[in-house]
Amino acid sequence: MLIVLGILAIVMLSLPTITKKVFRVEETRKPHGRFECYWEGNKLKSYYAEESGSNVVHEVKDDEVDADGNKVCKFDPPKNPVYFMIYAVGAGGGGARIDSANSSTPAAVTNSATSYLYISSPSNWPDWVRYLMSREHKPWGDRGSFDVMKTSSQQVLNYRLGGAVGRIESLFVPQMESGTTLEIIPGRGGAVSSDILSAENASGGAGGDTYVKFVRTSGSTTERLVALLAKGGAGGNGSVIGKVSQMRLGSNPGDMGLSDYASVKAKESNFKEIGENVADSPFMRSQITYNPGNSGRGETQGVADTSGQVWYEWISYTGLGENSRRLGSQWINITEDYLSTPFYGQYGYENNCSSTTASSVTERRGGYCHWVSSTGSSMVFNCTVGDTSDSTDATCTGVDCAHFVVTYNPSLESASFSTESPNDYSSCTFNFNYMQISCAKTLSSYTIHNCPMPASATAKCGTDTDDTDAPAPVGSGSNMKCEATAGQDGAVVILW
Amino acid sequence: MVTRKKILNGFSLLEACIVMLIVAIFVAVMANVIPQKAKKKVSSEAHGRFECYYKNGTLYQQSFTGNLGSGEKTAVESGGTSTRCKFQPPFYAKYIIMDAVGGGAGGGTSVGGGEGGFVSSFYTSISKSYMIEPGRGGAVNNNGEPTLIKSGESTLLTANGGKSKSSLDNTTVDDILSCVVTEYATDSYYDCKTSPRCEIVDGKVRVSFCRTKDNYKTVDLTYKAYDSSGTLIKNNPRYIVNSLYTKKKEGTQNVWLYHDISLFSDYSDATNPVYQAHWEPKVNDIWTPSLYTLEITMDVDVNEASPASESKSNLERYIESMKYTSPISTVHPGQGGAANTAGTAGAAIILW
Repeated sequence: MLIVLGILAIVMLSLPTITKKVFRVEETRKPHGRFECYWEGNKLKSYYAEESGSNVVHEVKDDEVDADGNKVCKFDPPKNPVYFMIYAVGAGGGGARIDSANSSTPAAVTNSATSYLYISSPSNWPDWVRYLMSREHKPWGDRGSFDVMKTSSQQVLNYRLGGAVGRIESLFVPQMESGTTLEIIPGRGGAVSSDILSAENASGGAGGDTYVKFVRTSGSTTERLVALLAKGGAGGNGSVIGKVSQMRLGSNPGDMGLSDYASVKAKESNFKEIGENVADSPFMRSQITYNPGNSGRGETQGVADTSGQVWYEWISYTGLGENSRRLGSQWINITEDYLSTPFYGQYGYENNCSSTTASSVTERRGGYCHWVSSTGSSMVFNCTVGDTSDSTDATCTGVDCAHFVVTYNPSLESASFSTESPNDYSSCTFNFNYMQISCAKTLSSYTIHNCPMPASATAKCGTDTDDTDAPAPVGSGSNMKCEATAGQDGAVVILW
Repeated sequence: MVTRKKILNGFSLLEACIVMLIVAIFVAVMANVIPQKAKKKVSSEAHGRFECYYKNGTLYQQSFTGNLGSGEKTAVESGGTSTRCKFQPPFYAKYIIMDAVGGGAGGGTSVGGGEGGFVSSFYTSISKSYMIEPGRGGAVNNNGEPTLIKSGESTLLTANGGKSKSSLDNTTVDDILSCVVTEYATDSYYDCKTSPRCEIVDGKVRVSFCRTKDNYKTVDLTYKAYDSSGTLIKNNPRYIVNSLYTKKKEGTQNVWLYHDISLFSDYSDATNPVYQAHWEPKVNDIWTPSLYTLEITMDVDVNEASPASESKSNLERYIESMKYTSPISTVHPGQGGAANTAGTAGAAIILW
């Protein structure tokens, strides 16, 4: 009996060992894989990889074509996978160019504007006023309202629209009929037009559609059916005429903030992100080096080596109307250091400004008028232009003061001035509705801020500081520009 | 001859040990097998599909196991409603794939409507039933409706309806590709020496422009608004989508012009006067002047090659490429209508 019990004990002790060694379940499955079809320049390439480590890049030959003669990637699906996931993106649209009638950057214009602003309404302040008030440089103190005249070099710049991104489509396929192969044609990116004779012709090219076709051959018959189509993005519409007019700063280049306009920017399809996230095996890393489906940027004009022709004059008042009194005035030169980023998105530029003196700068200054009398069909006004006392004060005697007698005929809308050039003023105009006078004055000595390109700077047409692939501006001087770019090609990624 | 004595002697100890050893080995082997026997065997693991589609205005559904169909039935007959199919996933399905397309948009006067959006998504199988609500096709100049797949109250999947190329009515700010100020007042009364600009910010159309020569104003424009009954307000030019001041740009399919009315809507003698001498309308036959014009480029499907034709959806392409011959292959699900033609309704196919 003891012998029997001993044998049973041995059996029981050995049971776990027996079951583990004899009945271990094999943990095997079919390997995951990845197939890509993409463009590399003008070469169409495919990439086949499995997580086991095998992978191969194939350049599609000229004779690997579909029924229409288009080069195609051919994908022979592996046997019996549980599913296929097909991701496709159409090509991005190209950016629009500026038509030939507007291709030259307009010349800058020096002009002045006076703003009457309430301290209680900061939302109405121009950016540069807001900036000064926030930097404790508050020439207006705590007064309820203030007047400020800005004299600036105004630059008109044209821009055109960027393209639209290609569409992303996906298709999950649980099974593929035996003998089915796939033919894939990724769309080509929308080109930049070479014809800018008209705004319409200067539009960016549309991105090409991306096709995934199922191909079945039975005997001598081959059938091709489109299973998935990812549309290409529209090209930038050249007939949408965009332009801005902004102050020129002493900066380089004077890209005038255009590069961050949503309408101009190249847009991202984020297709590459999808392709990377769904398969993270080190053996199946994507071979696609571009950003499939991204659109191209529109062309923008810029100005390089702008001289610092921007300044503003601030003038404070204690009150309004007839009781107003000029407290003083001051010229403050504006450089990038003052205005920082509100106007300009700068990439890789450093402040490299210096000051020089210009001998002849023309600006316009304004003043107010009193009605004096009427003579026949005309009216007579006394007008004063100046900056050392109330502009309506006939006793103004400052160095820049000038008095005019203006005779105005309302029916003819014509005005004559007692003299055209007292105290260096000239080219006067009279505004009957506002009862204002405006004259030009040539200044003999003016401070100019010049900010040439720093030697180490790298100019970019990108949209943010991380955009290392952004192209550099082309051209120089007043004809600098960021060129339109083509859309990115489409692509297809298949996972299983 | 066997004697009684021989019988009473029984097995020897050695024989008993051998028997016990053999029994022990059996026990050892069966100890691993017995629990597995208790598992229920799956009856079938075949692939299959479920279809939900409109045909002649009635909602139908049908299931297939392999190529064997259950027969076409109305959604109502199958436990659904006249607008919803009911799908019960097979117990043995390890996963399910949902392919859906929204209703196609109707065509315009001279352009075709956009096809319904296509969504293909992968889910683990559950025992709970799904409700599929295919979107209706859009009438002429109207967008298609979205197709929804729901589990209980949760919407698992939405396939957007196709977009009409002729109307802004069903668009949102998200459909704006670009917004540019192309025309603005430059005379001395309105020129504050700062350029106007338009940006899409936080889902709003933000425009900055010279309201007067002293006032550079930034406003967030309302894209569109509805009245209390849910009807789109189209006679109020304060909203971008309106029938008075927003017109399609001539010669384009997807660019609209919006003419500002701030001189009219913000009028105030004290703070926002309007200078009558410059009261010049910029829109033909409309008397209110504008300080700027926006050109809004919309993301609609412009078929440049043949703008007046119908546009096929990716679900229809998939059905064709898989050579399905069931009734869903005849209804062109999610197709954008040709010019002056309605779009077709959306549909869904569920695969396992």
